[in-house]
Amino acid sequence: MKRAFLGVVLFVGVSCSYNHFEAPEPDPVVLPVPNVSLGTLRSMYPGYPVEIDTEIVVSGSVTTSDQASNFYRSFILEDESGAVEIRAGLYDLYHTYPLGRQVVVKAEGLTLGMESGVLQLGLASDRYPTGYMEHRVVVEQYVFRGEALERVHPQWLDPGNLSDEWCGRLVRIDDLRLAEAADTTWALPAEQTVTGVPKSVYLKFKNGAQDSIYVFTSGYADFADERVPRGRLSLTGILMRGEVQGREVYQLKMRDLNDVQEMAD
Amino acid sequence: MHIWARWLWLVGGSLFPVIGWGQGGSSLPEATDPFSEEERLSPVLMDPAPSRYRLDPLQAYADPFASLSEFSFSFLRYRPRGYDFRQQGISLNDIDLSNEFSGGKPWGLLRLIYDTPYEALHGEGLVGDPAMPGIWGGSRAYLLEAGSLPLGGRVGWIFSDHRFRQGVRVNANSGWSRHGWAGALSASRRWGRDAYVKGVFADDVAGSLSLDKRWGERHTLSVHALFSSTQQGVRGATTAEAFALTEDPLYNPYWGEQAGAIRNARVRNNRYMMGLATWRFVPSDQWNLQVSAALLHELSGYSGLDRYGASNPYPDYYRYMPSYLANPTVATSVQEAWEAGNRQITQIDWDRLYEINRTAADGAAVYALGSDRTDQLSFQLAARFEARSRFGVKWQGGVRVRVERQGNYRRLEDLLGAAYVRDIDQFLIDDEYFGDQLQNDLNHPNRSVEPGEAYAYNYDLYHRYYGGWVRLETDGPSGGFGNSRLKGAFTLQTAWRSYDRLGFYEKELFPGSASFGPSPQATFTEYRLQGSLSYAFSAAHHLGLEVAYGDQAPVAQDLFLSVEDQNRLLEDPHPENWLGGELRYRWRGRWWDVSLTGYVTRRQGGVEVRSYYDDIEGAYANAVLRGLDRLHVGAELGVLFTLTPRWSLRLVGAWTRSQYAQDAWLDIYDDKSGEAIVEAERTYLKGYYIGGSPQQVASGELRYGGRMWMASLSVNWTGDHYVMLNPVRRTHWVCDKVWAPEIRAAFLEQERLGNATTLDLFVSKSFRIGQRGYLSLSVSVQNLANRRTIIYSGYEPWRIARSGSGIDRTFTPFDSRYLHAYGRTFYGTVNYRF
Repeated sequence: MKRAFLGVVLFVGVSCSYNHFEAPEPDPVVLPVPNVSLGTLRSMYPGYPVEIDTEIVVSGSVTTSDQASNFYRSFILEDESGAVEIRAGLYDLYHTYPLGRQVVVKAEGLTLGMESGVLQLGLASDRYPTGYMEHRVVVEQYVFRGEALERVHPQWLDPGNLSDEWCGRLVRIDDLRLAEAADTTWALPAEQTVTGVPKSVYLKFKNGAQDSIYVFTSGYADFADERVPRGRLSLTGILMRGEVQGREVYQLKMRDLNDVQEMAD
Repeated sequence: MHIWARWLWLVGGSLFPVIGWGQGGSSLPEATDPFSEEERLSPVLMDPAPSRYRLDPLQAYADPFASLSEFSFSFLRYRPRGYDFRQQGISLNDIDLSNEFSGGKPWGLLRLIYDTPYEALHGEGLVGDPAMPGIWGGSRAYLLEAGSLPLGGRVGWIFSDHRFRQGVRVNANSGWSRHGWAGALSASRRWGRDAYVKGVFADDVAGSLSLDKRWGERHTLSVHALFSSTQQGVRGATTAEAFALTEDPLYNPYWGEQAGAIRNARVRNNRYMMGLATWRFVPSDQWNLQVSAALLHELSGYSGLDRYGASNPYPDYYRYMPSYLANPTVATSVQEAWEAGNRQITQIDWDRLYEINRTAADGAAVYALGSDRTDQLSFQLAARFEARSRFGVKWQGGVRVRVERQGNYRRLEDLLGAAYVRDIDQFLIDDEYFGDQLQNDLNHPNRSVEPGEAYAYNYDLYHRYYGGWVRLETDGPSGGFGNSRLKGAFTLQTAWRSYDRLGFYEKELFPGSASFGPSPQATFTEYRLQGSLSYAFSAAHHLGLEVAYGDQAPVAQDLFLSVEDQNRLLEDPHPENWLGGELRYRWRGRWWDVSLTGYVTRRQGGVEVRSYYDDIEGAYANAVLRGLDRLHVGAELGVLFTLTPRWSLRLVGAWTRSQYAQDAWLDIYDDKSGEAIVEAERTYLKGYYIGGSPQQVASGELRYGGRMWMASLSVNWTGDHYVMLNPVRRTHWVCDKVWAPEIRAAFLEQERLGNATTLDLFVSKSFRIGQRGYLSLSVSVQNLANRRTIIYSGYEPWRIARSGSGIDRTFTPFDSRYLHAYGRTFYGTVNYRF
């Protein structure tokens, strides 16, 4: 009887630990196998938004980041042949889809669209070519994160030889100077506007051959109020189509100020 | 076996589980959570209600209302008369246990005291202990004296299904020896996970050692050492939508699975160590003196998740809920995920947090687990005398000195897979104006923080209190004036109180002395005048009147604007003014005991400071609510019928009107710049109810008390329960931006929570063991009918939902957040008294 009691006492003396945890081991990642390149996917776009109803799986590396808030609620994937914007609709995507991260997308059920010359994958939408997926429940039905991290190197382009096939891809253009006469910032943050609402800006740059390219910066970007350097610049960003004063133009959209490199005069 | 040997064996054997394992693991630090303010003070976390299973004799309570109401309404957040917990005084040998920085109480220590049959003097309403400074909601004064406890002790085992699963407690008392020594030992241990609410657990240990020495009949010295350590995983209030999607009224958004285990992000840790010495001098029946000195050390922490430029990690964040999502296809998918119980969606996804940290650039944490910690050292001296003069007057009086320092800081506990945390202001990372002023401490910029180190903020608060009181009371042969049945008393309290801050971090937003070094000192003079008259119709039939008037200083957290970051005191802080009156009627007959109390209390000039995110301005802000004017009016009825020597019936009811008597004023300051967003903005509070506690309660208990049996069945009812409101909603600052009449009405309406009824059963049986021992078994079942939709408490969040932009911008109220009461629960004890 006494031993039994002592046993109970000893048992009670050792209680469970309720608040001590070891770091979890990462789960092994099993990715769907891609069967279509992004260049081929682009060729499938019929000129209007269309729902994909076949088993199409694409893959690429992340080339954009929303950390500086110039890109917003989406990210772009690129492979050797092309690029596509994933309309995730989430915030702070740079944490879960950092630059260079391998991502695989099962496109069946998504809508293939295009905006500003950039191929898009998202949900069907009445207002836009494609809609945001808005929640990780939906995103993770279609988008799968790999473990590989491999930065995409920008393709060097001459602004006199731009074409739509490069839209959505990470490019670099050298020997650019701001075409504006007056000093300016990249965009107009709230404190610089009359309405108090940030304003996006298209800035025109020209190279030595007087070929031009526009740089689009959102008024919400962290670097919107930074002064644009006046010297020779190398600019990296995502190539897109845009419209300035009724004219179709090519524009570059930078990730952050690391995409701006000053060149020797 | 000799009685002493048996006593030592039982005590020693029972102490092993008590001291063998204390904390369940490393303490977790704390993080801000805009919706956690109420949970911080909620008794569902603090567990303040005394155990009904102490089986206190009825006469330990002042009246039948107090005895039954104290635990009958513990199934929800009940605050008698609508007062906050600060208004209920608790003392140990005159040492005031109130936390003057936050208004809280050391619940861990109190639970230890509750488990020990020390004498307690209960005072209800204005009839509280006159030695307690500025208490308006009654008091409980515990008299710790080892010699007052009879020889013997108790070993008990506790079983429960909510908050914890098992417990053990032991008391042992020596009684007075021939040489004038007495000792008492008490220890308890509780542990286990809640059977109904995932993530809720308790891991508590407490103990006390008391030693008394008396010299003759005049001098007694009592020395006490008390210790308690509690760790509790808590649950969070959430929206009706989350409860509906999970079909679980006890859904808790604070936990998630990690490596197959349940991990709660919100864990409270409290550790109290108290040394108390009391000297009593009783030279004659005419006067006596008691002096107590105490040193209290309190460590507390409350954990939560930090995030650095990342999405909210809590699953019930409004942007994650189906109701927020504009796309019906997406909303349906999310709803299905919730209804299917997908834990990556319905709970914290710890694996994802670790994954994000592991892939973060340069190893800096994107998510971390921190805790808000306090480290308080308090010294208190309290002296009390009582004297009877030959002029039929009894004098009582005393002095109190209280000096204390509270360290406040955030401590990093778990990096969640990251290499370090950079000590920068996480709320400024994405700020377009102040994103370049991120340093929490300019003296150590960009410091890498490792687990166990302080970060984010670090400051001390100091509190000094010097006060005295005196009470004159008629003391004639019949207790009244001379031979009269009319009794009277007059009490005067006065005190000087000060608060100041010492900052250890120089915040980049507020450089120099604005955050670093000493702050200005806020000083207050408090006083209280109280008079009472009572007439005794007979020894057991009397009518009494109490009137009191005085000033009460705010607590420290309501004196500083953004106390974590700045030395900035509020402009012109002043005390809150109280005026109250009570009419008390008591009539005890052969088979009845009736108490009826009517009261009126007016509180004017109160102030509260709250930190929140202002969605109108789009900025973190600090709101100062001034000129709070509150009125508490009500009546309390308690009736005890002794039907037969074994059967009794107790009925209690309270009707309260706790309301805002006038509008108040809001000053809202940008947390980053310190600039005023709005000043002297009227908040239209007049007529609204002070929420958070039912305005009406009633209970009836039928009790059977045999020689070795006791059983009771009680029905408890609460009504007129309102949510705690958000004063910012009732301003032009908000309402002028809302055009739709139905939305404006939603902003202004104060939600009334449903009435609640529960049925409780209690059964106890005792057995005699040998000559001195008793074994008692008791089982209590609360909420027999298992009503699971009773709302424990609810509040309006201080955030406002904003959608659209420019001229299309609209504002709607955030959904209220609730906690539900438990369904059917049980609590059992096995006690052996010897």
